[in-house]
Amino acid sequence: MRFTENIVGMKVMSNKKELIGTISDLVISIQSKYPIVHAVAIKFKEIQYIDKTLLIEPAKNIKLIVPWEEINFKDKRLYLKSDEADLQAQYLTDDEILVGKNVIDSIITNAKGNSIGRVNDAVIFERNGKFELFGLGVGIIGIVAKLGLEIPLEVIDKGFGRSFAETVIDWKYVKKYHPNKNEIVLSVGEELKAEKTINWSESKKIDQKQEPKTPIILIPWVQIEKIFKKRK
Amino acid sequence: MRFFLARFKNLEGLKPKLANPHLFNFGFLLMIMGPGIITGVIDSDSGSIATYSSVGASYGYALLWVIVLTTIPLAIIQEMTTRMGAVTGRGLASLIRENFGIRITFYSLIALVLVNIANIVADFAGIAAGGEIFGISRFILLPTAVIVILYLVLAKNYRKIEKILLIFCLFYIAYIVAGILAHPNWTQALHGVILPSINLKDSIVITAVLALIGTTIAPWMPFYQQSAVAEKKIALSNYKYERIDTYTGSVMTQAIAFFIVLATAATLFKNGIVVNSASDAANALVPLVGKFAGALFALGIINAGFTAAIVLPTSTAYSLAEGFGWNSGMNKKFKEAPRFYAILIGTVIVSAITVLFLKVNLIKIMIFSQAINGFLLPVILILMLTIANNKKIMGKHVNTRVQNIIGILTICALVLLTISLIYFAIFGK
Repeated sequence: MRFTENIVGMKVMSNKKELIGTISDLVISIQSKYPIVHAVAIKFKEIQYIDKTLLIEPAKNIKLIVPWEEINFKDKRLYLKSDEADLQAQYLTDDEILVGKNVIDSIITNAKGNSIGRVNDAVIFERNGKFELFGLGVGIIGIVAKLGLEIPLEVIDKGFGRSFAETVIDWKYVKKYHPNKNEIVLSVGEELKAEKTINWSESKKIDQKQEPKTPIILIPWVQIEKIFKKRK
Repeated sequence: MRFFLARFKNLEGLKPKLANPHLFNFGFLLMIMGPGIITGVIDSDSGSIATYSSVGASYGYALLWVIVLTTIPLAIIQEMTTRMGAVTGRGLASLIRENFGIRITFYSLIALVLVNIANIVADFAGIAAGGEIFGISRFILLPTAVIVILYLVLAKNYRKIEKILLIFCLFYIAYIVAGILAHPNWTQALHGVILPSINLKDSIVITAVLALIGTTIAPWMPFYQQSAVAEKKIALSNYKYERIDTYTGSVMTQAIAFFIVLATAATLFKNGIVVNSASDAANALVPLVGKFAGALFALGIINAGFTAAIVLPTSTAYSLAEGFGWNSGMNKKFKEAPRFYAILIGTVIVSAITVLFLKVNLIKIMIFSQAINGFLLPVILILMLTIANNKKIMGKHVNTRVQNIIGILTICALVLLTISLIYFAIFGK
């Protein structure tokens, strides 16, 4: 299990095994049930590429979209299969979105139109050498990972024996994505129950290549409401 | 009018029924008005009144030009946030989160919550001190105020609360009356307005100027006003009316500040009395201008504290809920937006309890709040300017060059003043 946070910034090597850039974002198709990352946005340090007018452009710090077929993923690094000068400029199609730019920080609303949180990070599994978007992290672990506060949380976790459950909404519940409103609409309106809870220590132990078995779903956003209802 | 107002509970997509849409509809203006006036007027809360009183008592009419001059950036910044609300239909915290990510949002919101809570504590302290001038115990007045606030926010919807707040805003006229009753020296006041003077080597004057600017352009304001515009669903087609509302609010708050400085300059400064709180000023005013003006001033403090103790917690709740994507809004029931109401109720109760049972040093709290504010405000303004200039978000409604220049100048002024304050704090005078 990975968070996008851990993937963005990974080193990209040329076919001659020289460092040529870093991953800046992941491209998915919003139509799939479990969208596969079929391209990555790479920030090249310096590159000559063929632009849409078929001119060869020399550029520094440019971001290009490179199809997954053009790359190999090995030892936390991406390797280009062909020479970077042969890459042609690629553009996003209508049903393609960028995970980092479009999905993360979007608001999540349920089928009844109620906001239930924002996407703190996207949870990604690695399967057969490909990245697959598993779900949307809306819990505290996604936030601390982004804030760079992992150590204090780990200390609290070990010191007080307190477990922090991560909250991940399975992508299969995503019904629609509104790019203009930065909004992800779920197909469910009622309260979802946790299918499995995974705490901080467990999330660290998970083998990153392990295939997803049980979806981890926990939607605790209605806790206050639950208490309120019980008191009634 | 009542019938007219009752017809439009939801303003989404509503357009005035005029043959020519370019004509002005006064009835429609009255209906739209609210977010701008409320944000502007309630900006003059207990902490602000204390600052204005203190500035008037210490420097007389000399810093009136700061109040007049600050009206322009205040109006520009509030107009910017209103426009962003009308164009996107979302609050400022939402836009910051979506455009700058969790890191900037999280740390900005933490700072915002600290500043807001300091101000809410000052507002409850203002209610308590104002009540004590009339001989009412804080142990009666504060719990009553909390119950009324909680009843309003839990039982009433946005439109009703807005109407109630607008009525309370009318009571701010008390300060204008008190200012006139103090018989100020109008020639000296005019001199203070048109001939700016500031000694850049005097850290106390710099502190006073920064306090004046910081209390006028408070970070809760853009957050509250934009959320209110979004909640009222003011469409872009009605934006010209909301702009008038915004400018009116900005001018009103500065008029209130102006008359408070006039009142204290004409009396306390003249007699060499220095004050540190709004209630000190009210007490000091009684022997100088009579019981009526003093009582008006004290009533004004209670009113200001009460209205701000509704609006600031609401602004805090809006900001946090939008930043983290929780259901929010005064039109929602508690069970529909539990976290929004939990923050709102929590800040009200915690602040009231702090004033009731803890011996807080209000001046230290306000200095702490001003210090965070000095860092927070430029950051918020930079984020706002970036969003307001983003064509993908604002379309053709991006900032004009003049708006950008005034925005950048305000940020530069705030940064310079904050740096000079830090310099004075480290190296002395």
